[in-house]
Amino acid sequence: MLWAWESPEDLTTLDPTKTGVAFLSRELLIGRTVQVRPRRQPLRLATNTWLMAVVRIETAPDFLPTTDTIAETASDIAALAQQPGVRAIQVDFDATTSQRNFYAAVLKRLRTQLPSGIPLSITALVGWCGDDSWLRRLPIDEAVPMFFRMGGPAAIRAIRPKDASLAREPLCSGSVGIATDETWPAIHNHQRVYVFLPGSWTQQDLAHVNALGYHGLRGDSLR
Amino acid sequence: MNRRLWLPALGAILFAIPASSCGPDFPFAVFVLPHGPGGNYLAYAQGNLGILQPGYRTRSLVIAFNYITHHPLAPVQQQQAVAVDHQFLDSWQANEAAKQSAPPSGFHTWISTRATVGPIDGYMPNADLEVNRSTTGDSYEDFTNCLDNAFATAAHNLSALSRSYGPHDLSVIEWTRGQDAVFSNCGDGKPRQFFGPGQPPPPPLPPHLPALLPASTPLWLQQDRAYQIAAARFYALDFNAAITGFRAIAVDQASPWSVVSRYLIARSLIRQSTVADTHRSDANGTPAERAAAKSGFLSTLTQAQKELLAMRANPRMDSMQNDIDNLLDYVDLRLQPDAQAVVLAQRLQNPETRNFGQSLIDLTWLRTNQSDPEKPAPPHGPEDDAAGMIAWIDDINNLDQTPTSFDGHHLPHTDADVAQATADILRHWQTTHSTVWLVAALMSAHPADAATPDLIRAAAAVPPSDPAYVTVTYHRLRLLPRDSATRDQLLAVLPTIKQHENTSTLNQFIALDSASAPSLDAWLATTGRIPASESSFMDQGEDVIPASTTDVCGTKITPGTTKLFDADAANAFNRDMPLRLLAASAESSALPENLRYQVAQAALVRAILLDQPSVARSMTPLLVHCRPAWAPLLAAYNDSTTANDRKLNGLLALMRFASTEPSVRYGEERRNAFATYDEYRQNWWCTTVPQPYGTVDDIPQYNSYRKPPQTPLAKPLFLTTVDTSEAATEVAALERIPSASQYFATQALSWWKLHPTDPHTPDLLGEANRVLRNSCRTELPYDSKTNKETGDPKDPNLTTNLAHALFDALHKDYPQSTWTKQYKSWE
Repeated sequence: MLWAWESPEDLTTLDPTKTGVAFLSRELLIGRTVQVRPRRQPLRLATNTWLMAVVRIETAPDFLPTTDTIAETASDIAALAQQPGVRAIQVDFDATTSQRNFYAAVLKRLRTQLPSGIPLSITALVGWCGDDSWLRRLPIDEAVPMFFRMGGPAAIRAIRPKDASLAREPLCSGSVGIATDETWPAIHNHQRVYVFLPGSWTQQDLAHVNALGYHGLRGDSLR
Repeated sequence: MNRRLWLPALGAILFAIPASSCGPDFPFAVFVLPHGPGGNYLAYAQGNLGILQPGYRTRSLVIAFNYITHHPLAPVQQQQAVAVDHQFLDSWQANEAAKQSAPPSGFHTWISTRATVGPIDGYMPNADLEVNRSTTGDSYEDFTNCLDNAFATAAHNLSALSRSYGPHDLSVIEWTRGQDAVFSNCGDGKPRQFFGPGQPPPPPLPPHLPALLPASTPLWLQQDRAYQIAAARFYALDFNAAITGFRAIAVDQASPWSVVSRYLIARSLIRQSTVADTHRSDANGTPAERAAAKSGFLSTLTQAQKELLAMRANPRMDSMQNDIDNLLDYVDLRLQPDAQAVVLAQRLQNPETRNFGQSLIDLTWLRTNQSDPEKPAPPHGPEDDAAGMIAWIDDINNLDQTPTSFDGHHLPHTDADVAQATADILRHWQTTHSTVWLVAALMSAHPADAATPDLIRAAAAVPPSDPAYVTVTYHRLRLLPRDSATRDQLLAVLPTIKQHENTSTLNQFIALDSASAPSLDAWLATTGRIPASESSFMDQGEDVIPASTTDVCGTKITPGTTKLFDADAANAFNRDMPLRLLAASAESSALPENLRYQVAQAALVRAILLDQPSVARSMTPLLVHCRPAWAPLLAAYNDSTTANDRKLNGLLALMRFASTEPSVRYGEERRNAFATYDEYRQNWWCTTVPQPYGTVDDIPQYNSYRKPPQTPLAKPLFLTTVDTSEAATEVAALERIPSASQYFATQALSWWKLHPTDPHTPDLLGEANRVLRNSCRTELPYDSKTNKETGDPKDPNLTTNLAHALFDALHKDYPQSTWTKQYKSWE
């Protein structure tokens, strides 16, 4: 799966039989209320591209987890399933420890609002994927451990290769998040690979992705 | 009655402010800002240029060009420049926070003004009124359909009507009913909570038009109604019908909306080209559909251009000349980008230009390299263009090889780009001998270039009052030989630099000081530098993320005031200095306290690994003063009487604390300070000696077609050949030592085989097991092409096999050990 973030993206040359697209559809800024910032950049796709709509959540300094913000957040995310061709939803939220209860409540409510047949994925900090993970209680289909941006330049050199065994939680073991500008952990045949590229995907990048031998890049093996 | 013309304004061309990427995004220190001056941007906009960088953005290089060519910005232009910089850089959160302290928006003013009329037909709009809409077709893009000043103007007009007729006058109520209908088209019409499980989504609502009114209606209301209907069609994306409506009003010279309706014909055409899938060049569809849409896009914009030029020539439209010119700029950017670039450059050099900020945005849009098919290729300034600005900015940016990717691989320009730009710059300089091209030539020059002596002479003639002085002086000193004469000149300017220049500029001069320091102490005084920024985006470098941390010894690290090691210092400590100089550095008061402890720890660890007990002994007081927990461990090591004892006690000392590492860090100190485990396994070490910063290991599975940058940093001048030779020998020995987990495990197992009855052996095995479980792992290499691991799974150095061996040794020979009881599984 390619992450298509907030840049104009032309993914029409991506092979849709091998690779799906997880595109940033909107951002939510949660304070005392929920502000929505929709996608402002065009996204061009090959026909029959398997699509996952991603919502990024940020919290404002006046973040207040109330029943209203939980309900509003869940319904704002659920609305993503309405977009043409969307087959799954992913939530990207680097929740702090104190925000986990809020996040869990949102996901539980969201799960009831999504149509059956729409899988629910979240991104995960690698540290969430250890033993006795808090993720285990969540009504999600996968958690994608992000093996990138885990520290500054010193950290890149300190961890080589990246340690895939950090992701011991079963919800995390079926997928892996990598970035094109960092080292990768070992990737296994059964894993769904999400690839992040800073900036817009170029035709050269897409040709390279098309040539990669990974299995499971297409999203419909999510369920 | 004074009503403002309600006008859906175009607003600035909005750029997508980069959203946060996915990923944890830990902060890291940036010592030299690569893309903009950062800090006090107003000072920069007032001509305090510091040291210009090749990677500076268009908007900053425009300012520099202006000042260096003696076209200073007017005060109002300086403010606009600051506002534009903030618009690009400020986060969404910061913008939202600023809104809370700003005056009420047009939207909120409309909601509150509308409330004075009360519900109409049971409807009262509230803050949930949607203003965004999706572009048509299979689209994943939204846009702001109803801009804030449309609401502001509607609120103004309703207030004026209410004052004239009263809020409950039937005509006012009818006007308001119509306006509600207009704004109901702002959104797609899809309710936010759209359906429950198992239910299909509702279809999008059809356009909601204000009702036609009978002929008996007051004329003013009839005229307003005609306008409301056309506007509703505009917001409902029915542009052809909107244009028809606006044309009819435009020819009705009795209507107060006649002039603005004429203008709105062009607006409708332009809006159609940006949001309607049949007219956009970047819509989805088959290739034939996209080609047709691109053709529609160009012809629509051309039509808009014709309309606008006709309006410009029409005296009746004089009151809207500004708006017409703004729209013409928008269209010309897309239809004739090269010509428009020159127009913008000329405007940007003119201190009378009122829309300086918008011109900065427009020029940036032209030059930004995005994969947007609507966007024409960046223009190249003609050789003889009056401004010369475009050519200068192009050439300077083409020198930029600051990595834009996290691993340092992705370079914005190739070596060929740099060579071409350098040749172009030199030609301009030799033709004009102007200061502005001297600046560019100096930025691209190397000490051994044939033209360098000439450039240095010219640079020396630039007076301190010149806005280019700091850039020119820095490069002159950089290009001069690293000798005492150059150093004297550097030391003469440093006080002024320290007093007047920002941190990014100062750090570059300090690096020159560092490179020419004649002694260890003089060099040490330059190694700690305050970062210009703490960032989570290497390619932004301007975000500041406050993080309060402590160093290994508990010294508080405060962003913005605590000194850290830049790459040159870290490289020198880690790779260029022998252990004895490392130890001398740790004992020197020339280093700030937090950095002394880093160096002391690195020296201690290396001393134990390289079996240099005298150095370890000399570092002991520093480490024990830092953390008393070291005391018993280092006492045991220092009191060892045999080589075996020293070996044993050395291993135990090194394994005790997870923060122990044999090198100093470039930039941020260890996140978890002393002894605490890092959840990402950044404990002990993965490699004993980091590769030199400024070169990056290749990532073969993906980036083999991207060349890693090679910018080796100069070794400190005071190091002798004896020093560097000694360092090379030590580094070679250290590099033969593997990761901490592998090293300690293999050492512990060797010790166990030789000394199975030593009472310390179970501790050694147990501690090694603890390190193994919390530090870097050694796995089989992975081949991305075959999707398989390669190598021998029985390799005894693999972490999994070492874990087995440690577990077996403990359980077989030491069943009563507390370590055995603690580790019930081998991994």
